[in-house]
Amino acid sequence: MDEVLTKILEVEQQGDDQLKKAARELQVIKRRYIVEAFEEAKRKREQLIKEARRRAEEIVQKAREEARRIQEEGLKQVEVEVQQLRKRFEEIRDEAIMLIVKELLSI
Amino acid sequence: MSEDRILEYVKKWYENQRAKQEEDAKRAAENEARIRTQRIIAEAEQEATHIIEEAQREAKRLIRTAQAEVAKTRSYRLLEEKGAFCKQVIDAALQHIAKLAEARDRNYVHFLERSIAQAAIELGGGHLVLYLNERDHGIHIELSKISEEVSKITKTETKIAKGRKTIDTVGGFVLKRADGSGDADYRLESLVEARREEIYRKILELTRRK
Repeated sequence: MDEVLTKILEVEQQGDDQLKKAARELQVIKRRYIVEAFEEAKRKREQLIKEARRRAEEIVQKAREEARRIQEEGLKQVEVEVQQLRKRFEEIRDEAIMLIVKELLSI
Repeated sequence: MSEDRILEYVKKWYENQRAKQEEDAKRAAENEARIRTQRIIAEAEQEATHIIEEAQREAKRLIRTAQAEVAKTRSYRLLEEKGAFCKQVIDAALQHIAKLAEARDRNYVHFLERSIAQAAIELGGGHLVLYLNERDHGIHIELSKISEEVSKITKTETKIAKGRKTIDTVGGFVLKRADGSGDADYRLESLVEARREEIYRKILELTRRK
């Protein structure tokens, strides 16, 4: 009976030792796993930021082009308005001169 | 229970424990990794959103600036054109008046007479000296008649006389009290200056009306 008990105790001791050893190994594996996941997350993070920066640059670049277009078209439009105004001034020039002559002499 | 079966049972129990231990460790590692990863990704997404929003703000600012610059240029250019035109009109009107004066046109002479009376009333009558340019100096103006009218209105004996000196002006005159205590500037340039805004407005109204 003692012999059987001794054997069982031996098996238990071995089992406990193995469990402890396995726990230490698992702890190492766990840390490695977490570090790997962390590295992977960092890579994803960098990718996300890189992509965001690329998109941001694209947005600003498009806006710059749009701003340039607005300025070019706007200035063209202003010149058209100026020409129209000049034409209009030519049409009323004589009348305006006479109006001012009358205004000044009517004091 | 036989010895072998007991030992087998104990071994099996330890195997199960190890399997459970592995499973638990795996689950714990996965959980911890997931939490850390999620936090990093969430922060990265937040940062990425911030970068995009900043770019969108910058884009809006660029567009607004361009629009504002166009509006400013438009406003400046139109104002510049209007100002130049009004100045041209005024210069041409003064030249026209100069021609009328040269021709002793009755409208110009009437303007002088009416204005001299008005200026004399403004000065309250009395002894006044009229200064004209060289061209207008020779124009016959009924100064005695004007003096009489002013005397009646101001109830002050008035005498207006032409000054010996001439002044440099496009047209119009300067009327001064003989004692130098005051004057009325009716030079056309001064009248234009005094009424510049009103004159500009009238010219530009003409532009819009037709």
